Amino acid sequence: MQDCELQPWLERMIQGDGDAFRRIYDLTKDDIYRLLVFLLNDKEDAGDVMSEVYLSLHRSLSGYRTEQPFRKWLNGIAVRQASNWKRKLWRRMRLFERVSAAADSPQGRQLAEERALARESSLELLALVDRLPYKLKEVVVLRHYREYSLEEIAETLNIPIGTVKSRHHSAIGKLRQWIGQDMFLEEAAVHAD
Amino acid sequence: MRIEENITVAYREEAAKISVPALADRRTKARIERLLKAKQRRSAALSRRAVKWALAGSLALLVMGFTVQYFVRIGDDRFSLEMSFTDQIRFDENTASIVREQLQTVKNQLAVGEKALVYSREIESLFPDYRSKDLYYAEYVSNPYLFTDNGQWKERLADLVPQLALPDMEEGGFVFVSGKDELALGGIVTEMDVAKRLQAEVTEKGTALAWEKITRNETSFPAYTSSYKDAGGNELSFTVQLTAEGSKFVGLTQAQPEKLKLSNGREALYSYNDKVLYSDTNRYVSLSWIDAQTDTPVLYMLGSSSPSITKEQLIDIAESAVIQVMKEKPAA
Repeated sequence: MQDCELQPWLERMIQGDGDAFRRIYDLTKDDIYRLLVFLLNDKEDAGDVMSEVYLSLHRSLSGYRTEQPFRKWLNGIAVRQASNWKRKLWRRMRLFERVSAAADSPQGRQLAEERALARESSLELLALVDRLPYKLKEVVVLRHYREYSLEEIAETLNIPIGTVKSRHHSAIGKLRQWIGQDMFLEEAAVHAD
Repeated sequence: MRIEENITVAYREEAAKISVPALADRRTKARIERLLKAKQRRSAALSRRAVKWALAGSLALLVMGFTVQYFVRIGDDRFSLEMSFTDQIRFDENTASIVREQLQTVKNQLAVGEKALVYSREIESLFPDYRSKDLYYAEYVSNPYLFTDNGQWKERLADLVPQLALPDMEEGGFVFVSGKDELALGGIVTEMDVAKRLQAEVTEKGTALAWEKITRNETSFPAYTSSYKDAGGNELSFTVQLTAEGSKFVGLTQAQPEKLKLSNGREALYSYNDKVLYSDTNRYVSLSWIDAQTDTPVLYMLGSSSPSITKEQLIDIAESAVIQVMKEKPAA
């Protein structure tokens, strides 16, 4: 999805056209959802935060300048909303509600099993990325999923480029260390057999 | 492969498997619908929490999507005014004169206090890029009630705008003509649904001119304009507009706006435009400045379509209002 494909709808959305807002949502929702899944490592959380992203988009339109690439600007909103979500107390309340509703129900048990299976099938490398502290993980997601430059990450997260570099360096270092440990443990298991 | 490349490949593979689950999609869509409905109910397209792009100045259209070569901005986060330069308007004097006649014809059919939006083939020819971009546009016309008693008008303004600082017009040889509750050159177009309808009537059904009365229950940014004339018949308008904190007004001009400093470092925007649809002389000079020291920032605008009104005259008149404010409170 290129910005030029969004442009005609974008202009109408800024004018206050509801249909254009719906269209922009349809054109960008999967992309935003994927980013949120990688940031939050939870599909249900990502679903909850997604609606916050689009409500925030609606509120923030006055701050948007047309010379900015729209997708990058929207990604910035998504990253901020994901950070808010991790901080907010109501996240815990929503989780509590969700757990209460699902508890003891056959569907609840099935959901837990599905999640376990999903984790098992997810790539081990991404599972290691999920173990990183959130501040390091968001840099990794933007750098290697969105393929942003370090400057673009600094702009999106509103932090100095030196901080981006150091977080990225630290994240890759930790991943290398963990991968090394895993390989060592695997090898140890083979030798034990 | 390096670990960095491995991560990128892993993300690509995983991303291809992920799409929004139906439940999350339904939930988000429902929240968006509630938001859009609430916005519709509020009716004011330019509300405090919603999009606050509005236009001040001569052309009441939204600038989004057009090539803006540069802009000049005054104000801060509380309130700002931008004048954006554009060359996307195909202005020609003949067409402008026809459009003025069309607007006058519609105005003659309006009762006092009524407003309307107008669209015609000539209007479209002035803004050809609008339709190609699937944007909506219409001209605003009104027949406002005119207050002709200067004393009564001043009292009314003082009630409506407590922090009002009036310039000393008499010193410049100007006498009061009338006051009205709108911007000097009319109003801004916020009824995009009406504009869309009128545009469709002209472009799809082939009607030469389409217009529709509009009603506004509330005014997002109320404006009050006092009109004056000097002995030489030169007219000058002074507009005071109440804004909302956090708003940004964008003025579109074909002239090159210029930032100036008034007394005590207060910033002002001067603009000279000789392609103004609403001015019989095609010319319009304006000077705008902001008083953002109260909860409701106030935008002041001096403007004239008379060829002999100079920038220096506008600055002198503006200074008389700024000095009045400075006596009461120092500039930020």
